[in-house]
Amino acid sequence: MIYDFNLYNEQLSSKYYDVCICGAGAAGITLAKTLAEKGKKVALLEGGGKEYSQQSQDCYKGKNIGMTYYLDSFRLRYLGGTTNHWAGRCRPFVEKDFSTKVINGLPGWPIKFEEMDRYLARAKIILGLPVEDTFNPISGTVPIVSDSFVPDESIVSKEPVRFGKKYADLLSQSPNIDLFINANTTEIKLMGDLETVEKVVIKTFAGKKDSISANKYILCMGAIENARILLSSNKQIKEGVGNKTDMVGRCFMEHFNVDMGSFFANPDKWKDTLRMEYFTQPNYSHANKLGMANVTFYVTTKLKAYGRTREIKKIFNRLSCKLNLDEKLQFIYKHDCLGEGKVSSLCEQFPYKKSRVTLSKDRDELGVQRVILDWRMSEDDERSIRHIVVEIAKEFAKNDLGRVKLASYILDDSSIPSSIHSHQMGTTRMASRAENGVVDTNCRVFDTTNLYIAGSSVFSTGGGGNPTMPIIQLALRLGEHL
Amino acid sequence: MSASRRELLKKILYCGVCLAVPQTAVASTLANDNTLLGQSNPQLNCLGGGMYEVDGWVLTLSDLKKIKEEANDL
Repeated sequence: MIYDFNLYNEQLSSKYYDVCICGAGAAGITLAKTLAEKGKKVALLEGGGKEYSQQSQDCYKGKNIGMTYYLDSFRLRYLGGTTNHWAGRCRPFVEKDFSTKVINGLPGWPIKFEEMDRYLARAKIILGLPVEDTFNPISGTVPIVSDSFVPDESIVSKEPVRFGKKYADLLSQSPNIDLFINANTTEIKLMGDLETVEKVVIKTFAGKKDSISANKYILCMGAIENARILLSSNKQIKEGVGNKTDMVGRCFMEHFNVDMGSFFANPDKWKDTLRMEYFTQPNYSHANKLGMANVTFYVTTKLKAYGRTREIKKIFNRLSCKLNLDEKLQFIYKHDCLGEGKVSSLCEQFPYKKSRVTLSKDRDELGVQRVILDWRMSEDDERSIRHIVVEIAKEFAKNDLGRVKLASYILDDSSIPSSIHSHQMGTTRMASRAENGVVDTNCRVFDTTNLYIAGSSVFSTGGGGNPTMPIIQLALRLGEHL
Repeated sequence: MSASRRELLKKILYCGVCLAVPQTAVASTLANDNTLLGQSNPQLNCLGGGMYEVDGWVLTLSDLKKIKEEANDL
């Protein structure tokens, strides 16, 4: 059933559930579905309503003290969560993502690739994708001879699943699921042992307050909010829940969206293609301690040459026209080549303790402390990005796809500017020991007996693909465990 | 030809010269001679595998040789 907590007249605190799930986005709905199918009685709590509201969205506002981030606009706080506007691109982790490695003093995934991979087929079904033959290179991407890059293989769903809508019937009809909308989780209350969750406190914007008790609890509120609720539940334990080792909120990761430069295209190779995408060869990345990355070359016919680029192009053109240069040279310099393009990227960010979520003294309308985000790029990230972009530029030239002009910050020591992909990850990372993370290999919060976390906040490393599919895979895995 | 174009052409030619005598004292001297081309002296970076970076462009060895040859003929 779906209940609006604003209108719900019963005392929730008098009920008892097998599992209480906080957050009804991709992970929360997947878990509710999975657990309900196993016969578990599930309470699913969603802070927002069925549709977007500014009042709910404003709870995401916070302070940004690191690299530029947009806390209150890229995430969505209503039923279905951020799947309400995601683009539908899916790419699972690769096996090398799970190879043991230490970066910035932190270990990688404590589980094997197979433990994630065996849920891939079921995740595809959840996401409405065909189970077989799903991942293919982007149409038009030319194969290259390279040890370092391969054509990227992913899928962009034509109709990205909006979880709140796709699973609305399931949520309303399942006898084992009680979904409460407008039920904001504001605090985790522990029992006297300070290890077992007794209940979660829920509020409405109108001031209504109640609590829900269950045998087990799962936080599925998104990477920033999962850390926030753990840190802000600090009345019983000053440092917050599950935070004895000061790891909650640390290792916030995104995928760096770095403008790597521009290029001239070889029309013989590009023909009608407007976009080519390449992915780091996992063995190469692993051997060189690089992050995984997608590098996209796209033709921007409207882009105007400017500054020195224009001057160089004119000179190249003059040379090529006057001196009858061979074809190989001409395609680079001719004005009537297919056009200039841009090189964009999605680069893995390594876990880095200084990149973190903490709490502000400011509180939202519900009284929960707002977040401070300090998103940082480590030296290893910079080294990785610079290596990747130079390498793909070399491969681009070697394979005669065109020639790349690198962005100035790739070549000098200045900081590398990055925008975001809105892939928040890693604030409650999975580790084998509490010193290196917040949840164990079963996604249970260290030093608690019945509190679990699902979603990209548990990612130990971020990989080079979009996180939604791995989020679903891990949610299915947790559902099976519980 | 404008002064700015001449300057850029000079740089391209200069890079070609460096390339023609790689790994030599002459190339090293030229590469570090800021008086020749001013403060915006382009760097000629060997990227390995027959690839070079010149003023941000990642070019092949044959690209640079060709540029040098043709520029010399101007």
